[in-house]
Amino acid sequence: MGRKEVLDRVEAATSHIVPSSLPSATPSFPKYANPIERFLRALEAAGGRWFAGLEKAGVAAAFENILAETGYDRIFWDDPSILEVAGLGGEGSGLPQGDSAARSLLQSRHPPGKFLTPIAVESVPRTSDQLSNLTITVSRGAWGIAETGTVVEESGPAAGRVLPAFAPVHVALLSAQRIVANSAELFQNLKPGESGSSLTLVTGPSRTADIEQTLIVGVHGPKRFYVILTS
Amino acid sequence: MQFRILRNTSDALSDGPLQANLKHALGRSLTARAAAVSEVENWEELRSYARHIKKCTLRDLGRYLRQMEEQVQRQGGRVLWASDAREAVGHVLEIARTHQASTAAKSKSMLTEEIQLNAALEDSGIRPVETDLGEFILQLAGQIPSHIVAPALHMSRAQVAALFADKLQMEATDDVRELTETARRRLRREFLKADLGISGVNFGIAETGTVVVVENEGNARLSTALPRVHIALMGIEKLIPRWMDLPVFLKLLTISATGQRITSYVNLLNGPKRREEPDGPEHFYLIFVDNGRSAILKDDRKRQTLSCIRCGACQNVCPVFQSIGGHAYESTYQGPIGAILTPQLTTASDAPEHPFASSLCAACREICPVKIDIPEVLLILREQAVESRTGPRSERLAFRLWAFAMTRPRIYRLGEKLIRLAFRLGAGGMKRGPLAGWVRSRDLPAPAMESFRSWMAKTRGGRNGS
Repeated sequence: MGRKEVLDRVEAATSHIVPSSLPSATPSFPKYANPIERFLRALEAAGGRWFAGLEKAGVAAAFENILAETGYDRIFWDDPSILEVAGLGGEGSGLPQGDSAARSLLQSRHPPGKFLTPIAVESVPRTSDQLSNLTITVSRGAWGIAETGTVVEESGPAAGRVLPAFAPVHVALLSAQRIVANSAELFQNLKPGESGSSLTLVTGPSRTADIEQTLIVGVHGPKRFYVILTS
Repeated sequence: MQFRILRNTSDALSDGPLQANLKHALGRSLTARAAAVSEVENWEELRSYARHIKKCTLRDLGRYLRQMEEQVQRQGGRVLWASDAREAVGHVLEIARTHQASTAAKSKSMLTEEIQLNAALEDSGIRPVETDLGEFILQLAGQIPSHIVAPALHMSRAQVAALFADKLQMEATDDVRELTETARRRLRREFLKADLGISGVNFGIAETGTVVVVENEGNARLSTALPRVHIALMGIEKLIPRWMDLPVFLKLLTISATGQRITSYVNLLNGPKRREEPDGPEHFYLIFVDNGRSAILKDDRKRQTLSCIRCGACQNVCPVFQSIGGHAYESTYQGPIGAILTPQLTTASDAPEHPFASSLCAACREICPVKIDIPEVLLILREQAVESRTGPRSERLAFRLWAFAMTRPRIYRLGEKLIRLAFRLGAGGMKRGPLAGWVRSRDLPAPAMESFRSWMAKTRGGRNGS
């Protein structure tokens, strides 16, 4: 019903107009001599925290820092390959399928006492109870934008929409090679339709200024947002 | 015909707390925006580009709507069309019935305010929960937004604290952090329970079928991630043609709205969850809403009204809005953009004063990121109001008298004399009569004792001294 009516009205209203052609050149966006530096500064300005220039061992240490800072003792993820990138195990084979497998893997890689608090790791929590008990979540950032300090989080077979959005603390692992200068460059690299159903540009923690324009960090989404930049 | 804005104006002007809240909030928004704009070298180029893109889109809107529809369907989403508010609401209720939904988590959407979706959901036994903090506050207070971007801007922290103490049984505190934390805890439960996630759409990208939702709080992200059904409602004018056009619009929107280079979250949604994805909504519906928009499309000069990207900058900068706030307009859209949008979306006789609620200072035109010439449209609407006699009768009479006198020099001169005489008799302090309302909050300057014409005749333009 509505379709024909709306389209008829729209077309009747515009039938007297000759459509003009869209411009082929888009306005320019800023470039940076040191995009990584710009990325980190912009992320900081948006209230995000970061660890940068890290090899595998450094990544594990960054996680220890985050655990200590937040006081949490558990990390959650959708993507099992996170373990390998994070220097927490993996090697591409024998990926942890569930709670106990992951825990034993972690313990085997890291001697007891190295973490300030014992870590239990779980994958893919989905019930309301599980989600209510989320602590730190980790995902892999697909891209970074230097201009704004933004991380692009893409959904896919091993990355859902929920964990990075609902956890009180979120950590994005990002390769320094994936940082582009600006959003125009990002959009040239992203092929819409080839990606998953959801793509989110994340810049810092969740925030609001709805009461008296007072900036409050952490209203619905993560209260803390970390980026671990791998080289 | 009712003169609501006029009546509300004097109340708003004498409302001390409202005046303080407006001054505080609007001033901060403008300062933040100016700082962010100064960082952008080619701001004017971005504005011109966006204006041009919107112009092209609106001229060929049917084609882009069909393209967007096709792309959304290709991704497994469903597209519904609504010619008016009633049909739009009907679609949402039908979807709710199909999925046996009883609660809906809503992220901020001016369009759902426009079609009064919440009332309709409640009438059908579906509980809508506003999840944007500002909207959540207003839902508790039973109020409508007073600003496009910052809906609860008219309230102070003390007012929010009193409201939360009353409605949420929390201990009264005006610590904003604690108030926010209370809302967070309560709304997290709602996100987990909700059957429907309902969102608006900032931009719909025709080329890729992408629905773009821009936000800071993360509530839109959660509303479109957790519930099993996502319904996005979109005014038909919110289309942009191409994927590569988005960066420009995004930058213009976030900087104009809040002075941010980018908001915390920009959600780019392409239909329901894919089979292989671990979560996300199983069903995605996009509802195209006309509700008066296609009628605006017809007129070559008024069409630009539909370029609006709802950044709220014209509200922040408008001296009228700064003085009376949003609620005085008694309409979904307020301030300069509301003054041109409201009478065109509804019927002009429902909003007779809107085009007149402006001083035509043109600050809105200067600040608009897509260069809508709001004063131009205001003048067209005023002209129409006068022609169709929907404007204030006293004003019509006054202008007719003025026009009569202006074309008859003798009568004009006589009029001048009468006015001077009236002032000598004390009309300046008039508390009653036709000017009483005007002088209550303003000074009525007394005319010069000598008219320009008589001075000119006497001195030959100053050449004869004094």
